[in-house]
Amino acid sequence: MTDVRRRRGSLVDALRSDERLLVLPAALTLLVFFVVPLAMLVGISFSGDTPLAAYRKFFGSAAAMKILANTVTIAAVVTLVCAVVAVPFSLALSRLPPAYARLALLGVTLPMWISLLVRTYAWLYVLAQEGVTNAALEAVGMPGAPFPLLFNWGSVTVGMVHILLPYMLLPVHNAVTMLDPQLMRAARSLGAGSLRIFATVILPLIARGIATGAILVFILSLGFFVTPQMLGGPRNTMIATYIDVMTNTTLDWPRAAAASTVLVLGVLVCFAILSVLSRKQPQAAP
Amino acid sequence: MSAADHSLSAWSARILVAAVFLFSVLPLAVMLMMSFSSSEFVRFPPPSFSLRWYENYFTRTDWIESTLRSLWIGATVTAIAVLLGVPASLGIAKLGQRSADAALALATLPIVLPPVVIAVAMYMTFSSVGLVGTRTGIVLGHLTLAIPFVVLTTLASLRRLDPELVRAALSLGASRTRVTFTVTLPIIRPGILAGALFAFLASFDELMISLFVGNPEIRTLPRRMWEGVRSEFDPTVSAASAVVILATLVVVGFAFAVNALARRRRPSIREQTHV
Repeated sequence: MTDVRRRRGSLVDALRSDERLLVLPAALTLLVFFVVPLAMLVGISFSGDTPLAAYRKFFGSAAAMKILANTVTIAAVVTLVCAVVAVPFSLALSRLPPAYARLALLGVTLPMWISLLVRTYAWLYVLAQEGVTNAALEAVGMPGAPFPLLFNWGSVTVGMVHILLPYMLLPVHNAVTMLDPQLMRAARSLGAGSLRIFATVILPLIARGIATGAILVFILSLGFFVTPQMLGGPRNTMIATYIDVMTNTTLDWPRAAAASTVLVLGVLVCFAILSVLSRKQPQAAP
Repeated sequence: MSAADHSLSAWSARILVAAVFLFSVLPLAVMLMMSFSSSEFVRFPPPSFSLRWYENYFTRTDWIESTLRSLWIGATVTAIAVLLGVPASLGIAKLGQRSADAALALATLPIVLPPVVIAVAMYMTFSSVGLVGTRTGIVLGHLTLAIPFVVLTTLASLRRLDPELVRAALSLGASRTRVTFTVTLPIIRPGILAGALFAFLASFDELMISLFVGNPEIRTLPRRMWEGVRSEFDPTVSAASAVVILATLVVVGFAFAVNALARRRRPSIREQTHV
């Protein structure tokens, strides 16, 4: 009895004296409802006829491998498009009057707050057979209009770029604002052209920002579900949809879990690269 | 470089920025406009304007019920996430470097892992303890996504907190608990508010967990919208989207306004404590 009371007293004392214990309730919640389910998922992936059966089925299926390749390819394309848009945009932004630049940055990042479902849905009105784009093309007399713009990899890519662009823009924009304009002026006075300045001065200095944005966009792309389902056709399947079908339609839980584990491993590897990158951040020059 | 060259590149910079701006904002503007269309198909320009989709949204019980359910779940998740997340950040601030890194990694995982994997993992685990198809299951699932936002934003404002203030209060004889409630928490309130906002939106806009852990009887608004696009094209989704966008902008605007007010007031707090 006294033993119990003493232990209880010491727990309360410990809480009062050691604020580190405040981490526990949140950490336990995440542990029980997030980490444990993920661990169970990995466990289920090994619960087929033999421990590796589900993985053998996943990697042995031509359809699954096609979907995996699609996923990596589309993630890479989306990342590339975001980079190609974000770099010139950020450089252009730095030449605008600050008030305009702030407004533009707000306009480009504000959609981040709005539901992904809503943003993807909006593209249906832009790309549909009688949507805005085709109406505009017909109005200017484009031969061949209306075009089938929806339900292909193109519409999936556009929708994903729309959602992920801010994740590339913000790190690139940060890198660009830290550029010292004197460097560009020095290079110019030494006779370098715009292209040469970009390739030899600007690009190396903002490379880390681009890499951070690229890894973020790539990681997030890999798991996309809503956009390929809504803007893609039946053939534009990504790995998230495959996992959904295996879980709910085929009811092959081990294989769904194996595909999920593979996806998580891919994401974790990219995430590890990202954290190494951000840890090696050079100290800002005085 | 000549002056003509310079103005040319200034113009191309403007055009480029405008193009990206339009790409980001135009689809949403188009959808908002089309939510007033009288047509049940996607047809631009709309044959005529009407409020029929808004009428549909506000009068059909399945839409209103799912909206209220999402609001209720979002509010519950936000309240619990703040109650767990804010103390956790106070604790993390006191941890050693290595434990703090581990805690932050744990807090970042729910944000970077693919939503479908998280949802499937919860579905498979929750189904063995009877949590699938319950509101509690959805709340618990959303909670794991919401806590990280509260922890990350609160921690960010804790790191900007001037340690002198805490030291001053302690040296004047205030207990640690009292310092937390009268010095630390009031100063980091904008960070907590931002975290609460993120937490609410993380739950209110969440689809995958609602799809996997919920069922057709406990539909959230995103799930109802998803069904409105998947089975057949239902323009009521555009009216619901307009409501979601408006609600989001109001909440975000409110948070910005409160933070702006707090920033204007902060110097006086500092003066008082330093005197």
